[in-house]
Amino acid sequence: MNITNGLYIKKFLRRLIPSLFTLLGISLVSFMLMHLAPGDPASMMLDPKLSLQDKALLKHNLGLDQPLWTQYGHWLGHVLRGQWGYSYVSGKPVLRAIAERLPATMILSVSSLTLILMLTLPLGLWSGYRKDTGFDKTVTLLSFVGMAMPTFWLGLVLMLIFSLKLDWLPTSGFLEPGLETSSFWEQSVAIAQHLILPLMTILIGSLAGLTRYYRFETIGILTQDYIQAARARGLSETRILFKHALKNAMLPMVTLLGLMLPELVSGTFVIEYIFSWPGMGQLGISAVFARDYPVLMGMLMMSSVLIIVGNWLSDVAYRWVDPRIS
Amino acid sequence: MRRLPYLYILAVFILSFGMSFIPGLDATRFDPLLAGQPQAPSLHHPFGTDDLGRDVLVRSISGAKISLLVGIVSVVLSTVLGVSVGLLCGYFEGVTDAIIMRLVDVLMALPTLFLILIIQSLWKPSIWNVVIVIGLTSWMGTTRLVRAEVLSVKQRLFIISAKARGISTSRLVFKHMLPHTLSPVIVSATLGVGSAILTESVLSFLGLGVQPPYASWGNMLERSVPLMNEAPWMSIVPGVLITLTVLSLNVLSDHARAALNKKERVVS
Repeated sequence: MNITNGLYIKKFLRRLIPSLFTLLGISLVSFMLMHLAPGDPASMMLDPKLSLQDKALLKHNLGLDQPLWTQYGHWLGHVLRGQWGYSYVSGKPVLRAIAERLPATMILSVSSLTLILMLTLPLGLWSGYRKDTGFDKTVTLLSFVGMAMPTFWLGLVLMLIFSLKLDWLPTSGFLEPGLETSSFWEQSVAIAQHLILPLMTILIGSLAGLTRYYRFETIGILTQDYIQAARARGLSETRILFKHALKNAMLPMVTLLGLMLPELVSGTFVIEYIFSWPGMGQLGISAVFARDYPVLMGMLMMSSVLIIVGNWLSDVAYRWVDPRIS
Repeated sequence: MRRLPYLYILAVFILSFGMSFIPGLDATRFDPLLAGQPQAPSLHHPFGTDDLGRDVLVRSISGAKISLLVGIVSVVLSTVLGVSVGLLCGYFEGVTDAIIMRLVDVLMALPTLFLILIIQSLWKPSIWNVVIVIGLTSWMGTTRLVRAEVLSVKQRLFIISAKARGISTSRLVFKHMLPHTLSPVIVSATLGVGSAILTESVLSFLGLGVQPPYASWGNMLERSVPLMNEAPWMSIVPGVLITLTVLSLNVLSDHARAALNKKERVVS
């Protein structure tokens, strides 16, 4: 027992240490990128009428007058002690500013991931099984079109149809201003109504990848000998499809999910922005426009951690699902 | 049906690059009589006009040139960079390889679109900056591909025999290794053009890409947002064009993959 525990810890450390170096590299690259650019936030956030001395004082207070390496060392030292600094725009601590946006982003990403998983598997499985039929061709065409559309434009078109023309759904936002004090149920319904359009936009854009993948896997699996053997034994087609093909087609799903994560993270940014969904993406884009360095650094580091952990988890999950991989 | 994507891409190319030779078609020219009130599609303006009285068809064709230019040049940049770094790392291995591959890991763990947005907002947005930024943030996949291919090709007999014949390093790399890595690179580059066009459209949509008065499909979309209800053609035309272009490029890349990969041809 002790030996296996030791092994696990060793394995864990072997993954952890390179990841920490990767994160250090990411922080260095992003910090330098931001601070080497022409112009600085002090002159952006200030009243142009302010005197030169006041400007210098502000730069000094923000630490922007020091050499770049000192600034980076300063930032890193604080971050390691858990202090991520304060937003230049709202004055809130960075971690709190991001944490406030987490629930909305979680609602959007968890529901879209769940639906992607639930929809792509049957679609891909069936179009692989019924290869080259009308169903397969329609699914293939639609998924190709979905992949080729700019997601933000799709969002705008959906908004035009369902909110402006048909007036079925709210155009944007999260919760109407008057509803903060109403019951949990009423709030949930209102949020769900606002959720539909951004969710549809994400779904249409990202169904293609996994559906194509499952289709391809299914086609490959159905040519395998063990499927022929199962047919020869007289097993029913449903049994072959669900028991034999499905199980094997699902294997690489975990890896793919891990790989999709970076795209889901930055893909939802623009969608949140268009639909005024108060999540991390909207915060990120407004921080981009305001040159809110501390928030930008925080967001970049958080998303990178998320991506690294995602890759890692999918690796672990893959080993767990498929014991042949050691 | 199978030729349709090829014909479409060809048509967009000829129209957008040939337009410069037709006098009187100027994407920045506006009709002062029509300014302020976008006109619905008519015989005179088949795709309507925008709020400055500019013809949407002419602007779309001119935007095609910029979108294709951005897509192709940035992919050429990222492919050249990706292939050379991949060859370098695969051939020499050792410390250089280890350091560069860690850098690749770093860049791949960053949310790319967000990174591009940050860079574009910090540096002055221009067409060339868009090209450079997309090129510099999308070479890592190609590098991994080429490096893996070189590492496996290295063990093959024809390389060992070429080495034994005392062939020069550059000849070995460019004549014997490079051709083996090209087919996956071609497939991923075709896909890359489509995704670069999409990235350009997002950037221009947020006002961080191609700047007016130049027309790009992305900044045409940006302009259409406040008028979406009154003048939907301003939004639909460039959106459909982007979709068709990226769709055709993706189909092209799918065909290329199928043609290059015999195993897949047997399976599907």
